[in-house]
Amino acid sequence: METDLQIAKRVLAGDEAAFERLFELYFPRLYRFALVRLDGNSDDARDAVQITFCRGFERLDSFRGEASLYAWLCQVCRNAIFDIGRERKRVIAPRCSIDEDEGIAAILESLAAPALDEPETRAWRSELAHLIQATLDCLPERYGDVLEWKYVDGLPVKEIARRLDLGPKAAESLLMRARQAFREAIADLSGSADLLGVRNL
Amino acid sequence: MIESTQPDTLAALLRAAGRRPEPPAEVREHVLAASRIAWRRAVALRRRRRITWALAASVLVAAGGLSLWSIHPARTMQPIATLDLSLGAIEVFDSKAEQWITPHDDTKLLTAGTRLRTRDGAKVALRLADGAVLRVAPSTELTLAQPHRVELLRGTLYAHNRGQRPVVIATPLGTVIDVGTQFEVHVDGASLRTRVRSGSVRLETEGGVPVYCNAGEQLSLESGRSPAIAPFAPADDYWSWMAPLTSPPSIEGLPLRTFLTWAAEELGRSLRFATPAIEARAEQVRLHGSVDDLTPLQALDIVLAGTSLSYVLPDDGTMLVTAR
Repeated sequence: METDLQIAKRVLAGDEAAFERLFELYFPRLYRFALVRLDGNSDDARDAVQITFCRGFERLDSFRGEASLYAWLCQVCRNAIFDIGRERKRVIAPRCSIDEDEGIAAILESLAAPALDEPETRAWRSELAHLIQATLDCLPERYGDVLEWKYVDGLPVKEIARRLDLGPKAAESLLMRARQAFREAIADLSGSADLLGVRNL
Repeated sequence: MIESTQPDTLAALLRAAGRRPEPPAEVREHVLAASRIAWRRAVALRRRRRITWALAASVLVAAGGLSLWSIHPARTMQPIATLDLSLGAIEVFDSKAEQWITPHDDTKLLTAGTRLRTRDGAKVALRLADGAVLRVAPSTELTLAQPHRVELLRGTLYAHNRGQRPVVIATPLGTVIDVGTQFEVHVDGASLRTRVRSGSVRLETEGGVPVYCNAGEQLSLESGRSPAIAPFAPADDYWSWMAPLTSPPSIEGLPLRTFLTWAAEELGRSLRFATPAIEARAEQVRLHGSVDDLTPLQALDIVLAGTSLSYVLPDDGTMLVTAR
């Protein structure tokens, strides 16, 4: 599989297909990343992502491949969001990255709590949804898409294989790796996989 | 099989979260268009950085200049021009080896005596010491003779001079001297042609009377004939050959009005506003970001996209700024 650094090099070399792949892979994720940090303001989110890509391409030759390309772009996006807040003279409350937010552990811990249809519960569910979606966005390659297709849309492996132009065995293997990556991401968030039973997910 | 052993908890968690929201299609198209421009610019810039230059002293000093160098070394080695931008293959003449070579060093400074030529499809932007800009078209050969004097042997050279001293373009058929202007000189064997976008130039020929050519005109001279003057529009599409060689100003904090003035000048048009209110708006708006390495039209599109203003290029040779 091609590494992020290899993709970046192909993009910088002028490879149109690599550019399109990078854009299609990261645009939706960065848009969601910005949207949630800009209080749902879609115009600001659009501007933030546009700035992110423009700055990102300008600086792509400084990408060393030590972090993932998505993490690198997220950092560029954070700066763009900060600049937009300054430009609009608005205070944009800083949001921690998902691996820093202590509140996340509490959200995950409450997974075990009984579901009640109360305002607090609804707010918690909304936070949980954001958290899970952000976690999917952080997964490498198409893992997030694969998990969504399988578990949210209920697609059979055969259809997933067709969408990715893979054989059924390769799609199964990809799904397995995606699940593993998701488990690990959730475990990282919680700080204690055993506590939440995520090893048994 | 994964499908038969998947844990319910993982599926429940993902189902609880639901599908991630997709960005609107129009937002995607908007960001994709801007990103593509930024990407192409980054790729072009990287390629330009890779074009390296080797301008050894032997290349830079022509035979006549060598004796001068031995007498006035500091003066001769003083750079008289910088290489701002090159697109495509160019060559410099190695006087020691007596052959044209492809430069292979990062040197950007050019000293007196440098002989330079552009290959088919290649273009170069040079800047003289006091800021005058020279844009060199493909298949052109010239010598940087002195700080304000260029010898054009063949091809096409455009000059934009905002400085105090005139730029002198010497050709085998005559010498073109600017009078604070934007103009082009083209030499092809036994013919010379100059086209003026703004200001005027003076053509001096051996034993002839000086002839002036003004903005919106072209002057043609065939060997053994009298010069002929004809109209040539400053905003003609012809001038687009040098668009890739333009260097937009740094726009961070720049008034929009200043940027529009630059763009109009680069397009050979006079700037006009649809209403006084729009002009006042252009005075007030301060720009942020960068439009480096974009052509004037690309830079205009990008800059105005972030404002409530737009522009049209009518047939009257103006650039009309309007409300969006």
